[in-house]
Amino acid sequence: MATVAEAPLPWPVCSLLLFVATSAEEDALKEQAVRLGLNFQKDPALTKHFRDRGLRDETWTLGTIGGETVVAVGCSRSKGNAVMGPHGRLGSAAKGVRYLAATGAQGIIQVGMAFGVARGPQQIGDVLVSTSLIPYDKRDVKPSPDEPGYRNDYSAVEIEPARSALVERCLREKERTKFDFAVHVGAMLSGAARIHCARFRDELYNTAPHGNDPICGGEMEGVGLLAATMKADDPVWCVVKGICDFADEQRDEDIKTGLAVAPRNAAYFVLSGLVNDAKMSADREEP
Amino acid sequence: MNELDKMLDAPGETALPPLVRYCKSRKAAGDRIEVELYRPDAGASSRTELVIRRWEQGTEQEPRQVEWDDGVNAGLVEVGIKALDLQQEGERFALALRAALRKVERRYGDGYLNAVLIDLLDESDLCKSGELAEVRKYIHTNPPERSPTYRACRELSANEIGGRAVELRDKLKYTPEDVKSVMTKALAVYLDERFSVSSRRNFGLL
Repeated sequence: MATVAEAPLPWPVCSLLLFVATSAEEDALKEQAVRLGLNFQKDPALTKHFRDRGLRDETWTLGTIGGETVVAVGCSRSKGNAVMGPHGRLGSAAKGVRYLAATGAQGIIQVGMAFGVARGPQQIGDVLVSTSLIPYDKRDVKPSPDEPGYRNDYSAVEIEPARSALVERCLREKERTKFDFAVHVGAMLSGAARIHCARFRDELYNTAPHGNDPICGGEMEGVGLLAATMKADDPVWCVVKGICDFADEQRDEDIKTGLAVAPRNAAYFVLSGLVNDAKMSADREEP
Repeated sequence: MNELDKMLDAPGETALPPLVRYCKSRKAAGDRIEVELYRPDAGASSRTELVIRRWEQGTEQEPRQVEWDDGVNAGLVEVGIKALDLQQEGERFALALRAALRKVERRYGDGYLNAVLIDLLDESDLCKSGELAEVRKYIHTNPPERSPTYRACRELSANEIGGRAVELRDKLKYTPEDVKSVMTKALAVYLDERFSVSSRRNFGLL
């Protein structure tokens, strides 16, 4: 007789995947799940399901929260180090494609740390919710008579909208719950660069097209999740991240503080959104 | 005065997407117009194009091919333009269903819509046999919690699905048998894509 771990999992395995890219983000997700009284546990059958498909990241099931069956996927590691960004065998692009195929999930939320664009109006620990992504690497680099001898032309950038069901969930949570951090909703710059330069950040902020939503920040993994979208107009992802730094010359100093607070707030915001939606669904009388 | 300055004097059709306006005027002039769905890279991704085929006095004209757009498709349905055959109509209405159910998805979330939709379909005769039943057997959802939200989500979902059937009947003038056949196909394609049934089969996972 097949043991629980050997029996095939029902399909789809889950409806929502939570991705993180660093161990700090992974720890924050676990801690906040515990804080909210959610299950956050390894499931031998789930682990086997992923292993059978060559997926070796740590995974946890959070069970069914409201209508969503949720699985969290830990950071991918190469030689013991977390793999950040979109590229490579373990980057967010490959991870998104593989886990979506392995689970049949309809959505992925990338939870973690991002950079803010406006020190002052934004604070370290504030949470950013992407309504869209701006894949800023898609640009033309053209010669220029001015220093440094070239200029970036971002007019070819195509703005990619996030999954509206996931954005709406975040907007509901922002409206109904009071947090000790601010929540900024808008377009997010996304690319593989680790930016330590206010001038470059400001160039992106001032010149990259951003559609109808203002740019609220930037990050590295979301651009990879665009690859996981199978259908042209049916995005699967949403990025929710806490501000860890401001992509400027103080970046490394800011991260010392941001590392603790940014992933914690982002994880809390996402999980609390799921929990409160579930409560509303059980309590509210619909018109 | 440019187009914007003249906007208040513009005829009612101006509110339609240009392609719909064009099709409407050609149809009024007596042309036969039908649409076809074209998936250039079927299997790998589902980029869909809408091919507008037009016959003027019985002679087929150069087709126009545009990227799928929910608004354009809704406009074409509104002016009574059918697909080439029932099979194509089913594929087309699968995309129309996806657009219609997005509002349910946004309000209640993907997982809840999955559960309520399957619950709704399981109770329907449409799901008892044929193409829809064949897709259904590869889908698992947990039973939805029976709260007031359940009733509202179910009603909204049923309303959106029913609305498409009404369009087939009233706008496209299909017979009741054909409406049933198109809707069964549309739901089967929609579920297949939503729950990756064919793609799992293609990857050897079924």
